[in-house]
Amino acid sequence: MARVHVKAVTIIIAADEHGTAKTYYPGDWVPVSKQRAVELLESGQAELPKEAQVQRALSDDLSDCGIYLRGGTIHETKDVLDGLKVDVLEYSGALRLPFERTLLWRPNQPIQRKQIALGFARIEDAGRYNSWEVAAMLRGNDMLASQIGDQSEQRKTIDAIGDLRLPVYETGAVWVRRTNETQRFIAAWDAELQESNCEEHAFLRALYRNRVLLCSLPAGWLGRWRR
Amino acid sequence: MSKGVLYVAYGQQARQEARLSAESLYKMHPSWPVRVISDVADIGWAPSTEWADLGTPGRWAKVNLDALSPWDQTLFLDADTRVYDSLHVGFAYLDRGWDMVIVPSIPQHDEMLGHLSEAERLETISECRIDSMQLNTGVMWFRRSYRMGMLFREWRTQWLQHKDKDQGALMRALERRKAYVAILGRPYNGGAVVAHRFGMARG
Repeated sequence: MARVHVKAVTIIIAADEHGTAKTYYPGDWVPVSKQRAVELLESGQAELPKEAQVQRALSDDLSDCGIYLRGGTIHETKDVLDGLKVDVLEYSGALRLPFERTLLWRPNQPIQRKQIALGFARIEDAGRYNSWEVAAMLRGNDMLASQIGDQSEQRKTIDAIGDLRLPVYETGAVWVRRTNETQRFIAAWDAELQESNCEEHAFLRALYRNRVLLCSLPAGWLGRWRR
Repeated sequence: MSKGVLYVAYGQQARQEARLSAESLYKMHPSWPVRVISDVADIGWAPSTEWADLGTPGRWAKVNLDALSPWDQTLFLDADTRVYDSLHVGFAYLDRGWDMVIVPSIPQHDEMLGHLSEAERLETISECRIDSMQLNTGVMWFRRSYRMGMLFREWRTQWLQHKDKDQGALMRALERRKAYVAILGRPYNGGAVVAHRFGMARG
C-alpha cells in the first residue's frame, strides 16, 4: 500500500513500516496510507508542512508590505488581492520601493494570494544575518540569458558580466525588502531599464553589479507561472 | 586577492578522477593553483593536504573548505568534473562582493533531496521554507567573508546531524545563515562548461 508522511500535531498511534503499532508524538513524521493521511489532516491531528507554511504566511502581519504595480490598475487587480491586507500603488514612472517590503509586480504575470504572502514571508526581517533581501524565481530551470533578448541586449550583458550562461529570472514578480543595498540595486535596475528593451537582461546586469541577499527560487515555484 | 582551485579526493579512484579534472582545468586556466584535500599527505601531482575523513567520504572536507583553502577566493570542483571552457565568471562575481557562486541542482520541488536518507529528507523539507532551491555543491566559488564563515560554520553543524551527504545540510544552513549567493546556469555544472561524471570518483 502506498504510504505518505504527515507531521503529527497531536499524539498519534499508527502502524509503523513493519506493521507494529507505534506512538508518534507532535513533530514526528508519521507514515500512513493516503486515506489515513486525509483523516488525520482533516481532523487536525496532523499537518503537511507546506500547507502549514501557506496558512501561516496568509495570516502573517503584512502591515509593512505593499505591491507596486508595474502596469495595470489597482481596480484590475482587485480579485487577486481580495482578502490580502496590503497597500497597492500604481507605477509612477520609476521603479522604487515605497514599502518596507515591496512586491514589484506586473499584473500580466498571473499570481495567487498565497504566492504573494509566501514571497513576503521570504524577505521578512528575521535579523541581520538571517534575512533575505530579495526573492525572485527563475523563469525556467534551463533557460539562459543567451536564449533571450536581441543581439544588442546580449552584447550589453556580455560586456558587463562576460557571460550569457546565466539563469533568467522571472522579473514579473520580485519581492524586495528595503535596505541601502536593495535601493541601490533597484535604482540600478531602473537605470538599466531606461536603456534596455529586455528587462530580464537589465535585471541580470543590475544584480551582478549590486549584490543583494538574494533568495533564488526554483522555476515553477508554487505551481505553474504563466506569462 | 589570491585565488585557487580545491579538490577533495579520498581513495585512489577519486584521486585519479581529480587528476583528470585538473588536467582539463589546466587547459583553460594554466596559471590557477590547485590543491587537493585527501587521505594521503602527498598525492604526487599537486600540492595536497591530508585531512581526516568522517561520515560519508569527502563530505567532512567539503563542509570545511573555508578552513582548508589557503586563498581569499576559491573554486571548488568535484573530482569527477571535466572543464571545457572558462571559469572566470564565478571569480568575477566574487570580485563584486558576492560570497558564493553556485548552480542549482536538477531535481527541485517534490523531487529534490531524493539522494538523502528519508529521515534527513523529511527533516530538511520540514525545516526549510516551502520549495527552497536545492543547490549542487559540485562546482562552487566562494570567498573569505564574515557571512561565508558563518554559513560554513552552520553548514558543519547541520552536516554533523547526519554525517551523510552535504546538500541537504547546506539548505538547512541557508535557512539559518544568509550569504550573498549568486546563481549560474546549468552549463557550469553538468553542461558544456563543466561536465559532471556523477559518481565516477567513488571507489
